[in-house]
Amino acid sequence: MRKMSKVLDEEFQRFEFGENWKVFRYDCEESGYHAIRNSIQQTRAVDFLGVFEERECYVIEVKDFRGYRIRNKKRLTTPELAEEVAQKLRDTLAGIIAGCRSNNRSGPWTDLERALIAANGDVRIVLWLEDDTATDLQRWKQQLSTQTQLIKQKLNWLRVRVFVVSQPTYADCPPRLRVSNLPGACGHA
Amino acid sequence: MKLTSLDLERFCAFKRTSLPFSPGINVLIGANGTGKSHLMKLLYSILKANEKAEKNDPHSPNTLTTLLAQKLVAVFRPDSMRPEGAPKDELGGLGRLVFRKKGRNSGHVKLASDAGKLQFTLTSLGRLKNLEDALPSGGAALFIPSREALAMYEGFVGNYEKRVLSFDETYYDICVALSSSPVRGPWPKEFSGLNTELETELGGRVHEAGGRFYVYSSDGVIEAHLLAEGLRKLASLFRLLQNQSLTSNGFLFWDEPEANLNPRLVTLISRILRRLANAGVQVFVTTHDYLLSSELSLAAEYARQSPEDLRCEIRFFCASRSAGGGVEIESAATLPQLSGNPILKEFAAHYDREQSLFKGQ
Repeated sequence: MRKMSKVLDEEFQRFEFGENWKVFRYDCEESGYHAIRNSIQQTRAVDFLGVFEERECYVIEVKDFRGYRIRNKKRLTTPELAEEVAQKLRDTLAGIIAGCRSNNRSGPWTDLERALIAANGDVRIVLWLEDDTATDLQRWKQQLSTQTQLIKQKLNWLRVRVFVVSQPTYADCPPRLRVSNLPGACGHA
Repeated sequence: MKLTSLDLERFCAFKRTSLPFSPGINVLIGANGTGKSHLMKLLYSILKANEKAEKNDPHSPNTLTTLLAQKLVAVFRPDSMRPEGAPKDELGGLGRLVFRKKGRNSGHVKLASDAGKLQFTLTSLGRLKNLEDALPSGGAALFIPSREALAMYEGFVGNYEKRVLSFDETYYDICVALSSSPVRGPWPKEFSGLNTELETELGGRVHEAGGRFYVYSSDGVIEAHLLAEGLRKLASLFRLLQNQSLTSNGFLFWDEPEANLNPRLVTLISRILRRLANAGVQVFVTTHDYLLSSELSLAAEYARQSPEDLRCEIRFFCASRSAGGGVEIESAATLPQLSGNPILKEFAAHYDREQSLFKGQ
């Protein structure tokens, strides 16, 4: 099994998870995702699954629209993005259950999946969203609040906490996480 | 005539401020107690006094100075405590509209239009003086207060004239305006489309009978005071357009139109305001509403994409308490261009509170 990494790159950002995190890229060979995708090709997946301090379960999806504002404008101004996140979560939950019921797997990856299933508290869904308009912080926070509400609506069939966050609005939520830009961020080569 | 600017020195909460107006819609935002309604009441009082002076017999002792002083007192309703040393013959309380400080003080108001200007001084002793210049006659000014007037209409005018009621004169004025009978014939072409839009939303037309208002629809007749408050606001507007109290060269002051309106009607109000401005009405509106202010800002930001009949100039004003005391006003062409926006600030604080709760156990 691939060694668990605490530094994960996604799109043009580096996510450095601090101590007490167990975190995985979900789109990997070991997860149940590929087993489902082999059968149902439209299956989608979130970016990261993680557990903080053995008790807080996180599902993290990353979207970076910087430099692609026009192309992604509709996704931000309609419920489209919320629906996409909800679909990915739905498929991810199916993958997690598949992973837990698989006879072929064991180890920390499965432990994480089991922790997510057994989570006493709410599973925390985080959409990490970057966009060019984030320069106006107050307006950006209002947009993130709206996205949070839209995702909550799409996930009203599930007991989860939802939050949409970005680099400029990050205030230790999720905890002990450092996010930085990689070369090519903001749409620049 | 369109109002172009207002300069204030030591008036109410304003130490010194200047507002450049749009000929279309002027949107005032700001926390409670920052003088937004006072600004609108001042403009309204000047225009109403000017209207009355125009109609006055030139030999009447009621000069514009007297009429304006009377109107300011009736609209602002300051306490009539007479400061020590104030002459007995002056209107009680007028001096309380001057920026408060120890000792005697005076405030100055200068209102400019594209066709003339008017300025005057108010003293803390309650004297209105140095009235200079004059505004030409323009269209009528209407002030729609934040509390809906249609439900209180029955008997209000008569009662207000006979008794001491705790309503300022904007309520009396709007009820008088509502009481005028509809004008025969079709609506003025500038407002074509508005009647259909309002009628569709109300489900019928507005009529007055026996001192009460009703909406006549295909489903029957409903008393106006049984309508939802948001719809009563639309019914009032319908009546004011129907009886031509509001005309295309007029002025509309609307204090918090969003009060008791659901978001869909707020969007409709935004469109109606733009139609009115497009037809030539100069609009002044105060709001605490995120949706209304954002809708109007979008119209300003994407002006070229607006349909022809909704196109108008819009300007935004934000009133805020300054560190040195008093209220300052910032203005901009769009909402995001304002450096402060108390509505957005609270939404951002809401986001921070949610982040904090999300982290908790």
